Amino acid sequence: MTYAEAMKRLEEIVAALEAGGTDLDETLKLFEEGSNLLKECQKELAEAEGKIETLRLEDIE
Amino acid sequence: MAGEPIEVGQYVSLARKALVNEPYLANAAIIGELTKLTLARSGHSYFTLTDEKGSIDCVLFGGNSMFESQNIAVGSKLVALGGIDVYVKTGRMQFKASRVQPVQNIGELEKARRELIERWRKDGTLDRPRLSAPHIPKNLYIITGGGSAALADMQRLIADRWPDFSYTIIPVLVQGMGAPEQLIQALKYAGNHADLIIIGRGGGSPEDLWSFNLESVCQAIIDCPAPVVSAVGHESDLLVSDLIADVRASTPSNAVERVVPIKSELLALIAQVGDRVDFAIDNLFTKKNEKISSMIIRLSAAPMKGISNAKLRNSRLYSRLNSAIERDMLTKKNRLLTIDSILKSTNPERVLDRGYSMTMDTDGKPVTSIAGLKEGDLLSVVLRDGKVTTEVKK
Repeated sequence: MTYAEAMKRLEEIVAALEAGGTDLDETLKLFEEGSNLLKECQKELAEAEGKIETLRLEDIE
Repeated sequence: MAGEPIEVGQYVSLARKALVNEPYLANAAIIGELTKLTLARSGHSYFTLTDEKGSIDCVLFGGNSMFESQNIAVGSKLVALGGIDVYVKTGRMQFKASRVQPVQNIGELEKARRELIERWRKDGTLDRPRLSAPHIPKNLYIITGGGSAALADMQRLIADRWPDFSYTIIPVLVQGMGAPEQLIQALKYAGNHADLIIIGRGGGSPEDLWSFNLESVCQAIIDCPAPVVSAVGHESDLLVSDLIADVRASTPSNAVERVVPIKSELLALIAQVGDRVDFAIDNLFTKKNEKISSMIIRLSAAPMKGISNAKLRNSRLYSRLNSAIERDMLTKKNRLLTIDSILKSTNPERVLDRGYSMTMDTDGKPVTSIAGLKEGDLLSVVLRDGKVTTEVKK
């Protein structure tokens, strides 16, 4: 799942939780899914970090 | 300490070797005005190329016919392909050319550009479906002039937006005769490694930007499997690469603004969503709590015999429930731990562990009532470690 997809799903989850009306089981499921997605998003951010590399054309023949 | 003195010739030889082995100098295309030209009787051509910032003596062995066939004369703008060399005997640096070519005038170039756009408009290339840039590029490649102001601007901007952001730079020639070839080579490599590519350069004369109007370079952008951002020149420059790239940025800095998110904004957004989840959960449990409270209040207000006892019990019950719910809410906040324990407590096997058993009829359907059972019926009883069959006696 991409970052954009994860954020979209999170929006849906938040909307469902905010609307209420879900039973306890469903609520916990949504909560768990939401928690996992938030972790995924944070992981995604970490994956974009690292070093700056410079490649020379002669080295990539 | 400079060490033992070495002979001049040896020193110049070393210097020559260092220069000749530098790939960017050894294999280059240089552009300048032809300010001096000698066509020697030997057939070799000796000439000088000059621009506002510098000048270099050049030699093209057996080059006389090449100059003559192309009507090249002093004052022409020229591209020379070749590499640096040092004539050891005199210590003079020179450019050893393998080819020279006059620079086409801008009128001809412009005509070719218009024809290319017209052709691509007709065959649908300009309207082809574009790839979209990832929200967070994890393998951004930047193809631009090494050491250029455009690269420095982009690097500074990336560092501002997202310190520690990871990316790869492929420095290339962005103008002159070797540029198209290098741009294409870099694009081909990056296309197989990047999830997003920025290709571009800073502002310059129309001639300087011309590589980005060439069919060969633009075709490489079209063929690139990764999304490509075209970021060439200033805002007012519109190149063919801008028309066919997946994303058009008006300048190199604008390209960064469009594709590298601001980290603090992303973090704030994630935190905000997290807060909303927590808040919604709290809210839901508070509502359930209120529902139970109101039931207790109704119960305790019911006009019944022994009401005072009931009230007493209920008020105790109420406070017990209340504190149980408070505790529950706290543990709900403890996220997955709670979910885990709830899952475990509802798992039928756990129930069996506690000494309960499950009764099923011969079809395997659970039996929950004695209604419908008669003497002699066979029942399966599932216990913690297995199943037994029993018969209904009475």
